[in-house]
Amino acid sequence: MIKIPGFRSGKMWKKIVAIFGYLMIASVVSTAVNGGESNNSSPITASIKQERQTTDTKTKTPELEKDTASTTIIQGQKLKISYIDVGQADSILIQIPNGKNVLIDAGNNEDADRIISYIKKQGISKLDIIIGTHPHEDHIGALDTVINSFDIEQVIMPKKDSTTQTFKDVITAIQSKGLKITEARAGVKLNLGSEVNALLIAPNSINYDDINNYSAVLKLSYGSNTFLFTGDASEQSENEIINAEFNLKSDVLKVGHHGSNTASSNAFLNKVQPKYAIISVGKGNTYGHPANITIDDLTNIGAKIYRTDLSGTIIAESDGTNITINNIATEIEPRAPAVVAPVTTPTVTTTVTPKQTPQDVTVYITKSGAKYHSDGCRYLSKSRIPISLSKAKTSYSPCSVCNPPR
Amino acid sequence: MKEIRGIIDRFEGDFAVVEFEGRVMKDIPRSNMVSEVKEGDVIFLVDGIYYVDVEETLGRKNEIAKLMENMWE
Repeated sequence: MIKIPGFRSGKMWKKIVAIFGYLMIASVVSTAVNGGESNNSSPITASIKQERQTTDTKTKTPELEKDTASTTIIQGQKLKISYIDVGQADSILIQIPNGKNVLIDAGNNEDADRIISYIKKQGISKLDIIIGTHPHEDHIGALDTVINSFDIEQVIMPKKDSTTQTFKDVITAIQSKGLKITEARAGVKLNLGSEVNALLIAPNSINYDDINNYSAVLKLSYGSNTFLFTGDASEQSENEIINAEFNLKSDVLKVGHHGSNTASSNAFLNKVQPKYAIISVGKGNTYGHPANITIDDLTNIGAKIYRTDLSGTIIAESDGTNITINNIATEIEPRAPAVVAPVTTPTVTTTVTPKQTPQDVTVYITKSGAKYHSDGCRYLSKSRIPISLSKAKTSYSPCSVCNPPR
Repeated sequence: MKEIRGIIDRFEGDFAVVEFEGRVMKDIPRSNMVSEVKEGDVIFLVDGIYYVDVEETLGRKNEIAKLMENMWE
């Protein structure tokens, strides 16, 4: 027989009252043990709090860097990325070998037909994820029409308003489809299957003065090939990405903000080390995009530059090991008057692989030195800036230690 | 008389990209606007200069905020 208060008499109602009483005492004790935390503080909510805290204080979050896990390569199938020519705007279609599709941005208001017909031509009826990098019209212009024209699984956008009708129409379109929006912020992983790793690495803060800095920045990898999509992120966001120690190295860089001088800082480009740089920009735009300095910096870092204002839609394909860039001679978007490009054979696809003729061998210079060097020279330990041989020869002399090509 | 009104979508260098009725976008030099204009402002044209309609800007901001409510998860 139990001889504790509440159970001595054997009466049922007393037992019930006692059980409640003991439960309350137990909960008070457990709260005290947990250091004052409320007693529903499960490990899960605790870890969320922890993550917020680290994000707020902008300290390193090693959790966010796990974008290096290996991906499953599907033999004979290619990842295809189309940097659609939408003039002075962005719209990028990513087709993953497992059949999933992602659209980053949807050009200007006037680009709806162009984007939709391009996507449909690929035989696509469903977009698994659409990303509106930030709420400017040259990125979300046709997003409402896209949402109304395809099956959409997930919408990702930064939580930032705009007062334009364009923005209002986008939100209304999302609402009418019964969809919610996933907030774009650094650390969000895109669920696209084991074939690719896709991680947002910006925005890293909650508030910015410059709306471009709200841009969702995506790092995508397939096999050993890597791609970076920067929206219009300016130098402030670039610095935050660097400070958060994300792995930035990418084979193909979608150059930030149409090649404007507000983006693509040297510090950022040094981390990315792009082999190919794609600039989505309108021919004859009023804003002077791309900036000369951006072109110079990309050239100096050794990137091969492709521009939608000169080439039309640009397509990058990856088998997980090699990347080929095709610039199909599509007609160039309005706000982008006709080019005098060789469009005599419009259906021919040119595969451009970087070939090195003796004239355009890459050599290296340093920040302060007057000599140019071969890769691996001991003078390159502190600073190593790639430059073409022909360009190097105009202002530098060959190093006498490593004896580079002349 | 119908006033010319627009909303500032963004700034690009010396230009403001303005959304007019029917989502028609135009580049307007910033020199044709009062200096305090910000992205998101509703503006109206008087004698070649664009001014901010403070009240309508606020009204639109509130309207959009309401529309955005509970949309992000």
